[in-house]
Amino acid sequence: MTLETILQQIINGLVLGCNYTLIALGMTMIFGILNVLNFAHGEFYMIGAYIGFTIMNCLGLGFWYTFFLVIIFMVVFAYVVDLIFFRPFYELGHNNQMVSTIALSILLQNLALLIWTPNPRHFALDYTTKTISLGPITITVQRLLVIVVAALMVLILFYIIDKTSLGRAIRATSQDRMAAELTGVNVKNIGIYVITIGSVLAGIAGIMVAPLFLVYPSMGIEAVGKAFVVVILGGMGNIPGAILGGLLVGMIESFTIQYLGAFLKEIIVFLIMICILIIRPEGLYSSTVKTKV
Amino acid sequence: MKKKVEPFIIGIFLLLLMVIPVFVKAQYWMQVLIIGEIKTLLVMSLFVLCGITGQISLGQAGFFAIGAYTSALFSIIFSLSPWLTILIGALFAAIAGVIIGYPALRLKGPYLIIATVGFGEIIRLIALNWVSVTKGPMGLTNVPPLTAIKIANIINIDFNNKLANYYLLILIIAVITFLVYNLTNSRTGYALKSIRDDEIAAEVMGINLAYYKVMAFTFSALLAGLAGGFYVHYIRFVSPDSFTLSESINYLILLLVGGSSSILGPFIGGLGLTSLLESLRFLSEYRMITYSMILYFTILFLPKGLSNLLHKSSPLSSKKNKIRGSICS
Repeated sequence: MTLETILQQIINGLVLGCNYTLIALGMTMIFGILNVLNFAHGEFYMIGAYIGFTIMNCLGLGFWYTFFLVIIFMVVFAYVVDLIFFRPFYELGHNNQMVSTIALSILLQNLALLIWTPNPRHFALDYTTKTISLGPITITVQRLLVIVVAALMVLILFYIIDKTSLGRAIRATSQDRMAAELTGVNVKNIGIYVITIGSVLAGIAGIMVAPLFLVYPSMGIEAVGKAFVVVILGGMGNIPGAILGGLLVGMIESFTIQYLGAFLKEIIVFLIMICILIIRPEGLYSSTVKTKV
Repeated sequence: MKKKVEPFIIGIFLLLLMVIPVFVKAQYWMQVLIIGEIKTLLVMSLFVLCGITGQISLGQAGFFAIGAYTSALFSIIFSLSPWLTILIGALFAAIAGVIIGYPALRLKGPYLIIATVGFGEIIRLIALNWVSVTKGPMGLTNVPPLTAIKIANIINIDFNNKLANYYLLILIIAVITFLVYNLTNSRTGYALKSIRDDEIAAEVMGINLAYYKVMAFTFSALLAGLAGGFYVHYIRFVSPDSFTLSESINYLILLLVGGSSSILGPFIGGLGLTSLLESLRFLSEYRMITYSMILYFTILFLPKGLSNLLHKSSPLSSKKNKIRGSICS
């Protein structure tokens, strides 16, 4: 147990954690506003990775052009998804909304199977193999980029939530839907903004980690389980909590792999989640002033 | 009105199931129907929890796995009769139900859903990684079939063929449906329904929330474990692939699309939707896409599920359902 291995595991945990954070942020915000668990959120992440892969392979564009095209695609995608799978269910109750997101998840998974076949895809960039030495540890540029982009996205999100009128409307709606509506917030339209933010963040997670891990149609359903854990650790609808939870889950995973064995990583993560649910159902991160959303 | 109609429709349904083998000889469809019957049992177990008590669980595959693995292991290692080991498996699942039921008391709606997701995944991961006992991803092979019933050389039922299993499962479903139907119309059933409709009001009326919720979890787990036992001795093979999160999600979908407000829901969801999915095989790779669209449009136009088409629910229950929508999840 040398200092280098610990530092290396911290970096690995950060990369995993940033990935989970980006996915879980959208999920927790959608829960805060629409009060529904978005089972299709993992598929947003999968679609982001596949679209990035396709743009890079077919159009031969560079990584950053692809990155911005994926963001544009995810915005359009979120609009369509909201129109078909969320909006008609606002009045029909949470159970039906949940079934509709599950139907969306099945649909997207099978569309991906149809378009991109079940074979795992791998795309390597220059960034994937290029390394940087930071003191005793070495890190590939792509891993560093995951952390930097995730941090940047979180900052932008905080700016939107804290400083803009849209952010105020989102916070108001998640705290008290009826009161927000009475003060003139168009709560029906808040849903689409939140779904767009969530979809873009999940898409960015997809394109950022695609060069590191394999891309395959069932990657979404695996990620969604982790995102649930992150959302629970941070508290439902709690943005700072989701960031903390994401990093925590990433760290737990990477240290479990190093010191206890890779097969235990998911069991330990789920066990911790159940313990948290029993001891503190409101999440680890809950201050006196509850910043929900 | 509702009270009289439901047993009648279920009776017709069971009779229909009994005469199907006379006309359908294809082994393939028998297989589909048997799997449909096992799914009906599973969806029935979820109906007790979600439909009656209003507690959504996505850990049903976990209970199913406990029933299946326990029964398979006991019958392989100790060479016990599968009839006995199925009961042992159901008992183990029920114990797991108590264990998960107690912490679940504090959780509601989405928190409960996620906690049960965690439970189901833990069970699957244990089955996957405890290689010395469960053989891990390879699964347990050579699970013995149900032993033949011999009574005085006259009756001799061999459970090595599909037909015998098919009729056995109809019998099991009939018994369980009878139990669950009577439960819904008993004192206990009213208590469970009142928890579903308004937990606080139920507690104020003197209903012991802890007792009834844990009971619902235990009964539901017992049913799922039972289904697991019959499944494993029919398929004669068990591997962790059958108990993924997608499976648990699938059972919940079958219940909600079938209709969680009526005991007909599990039948429509378990047998109906499973057969529908099979009959879409000619669509090959477009099959699941079509299936997801069917689910979407059903839930959009029939928010209370398909069972609402078959019988008019009483005015009381339709009013209650509206309230329940906001509480159940």
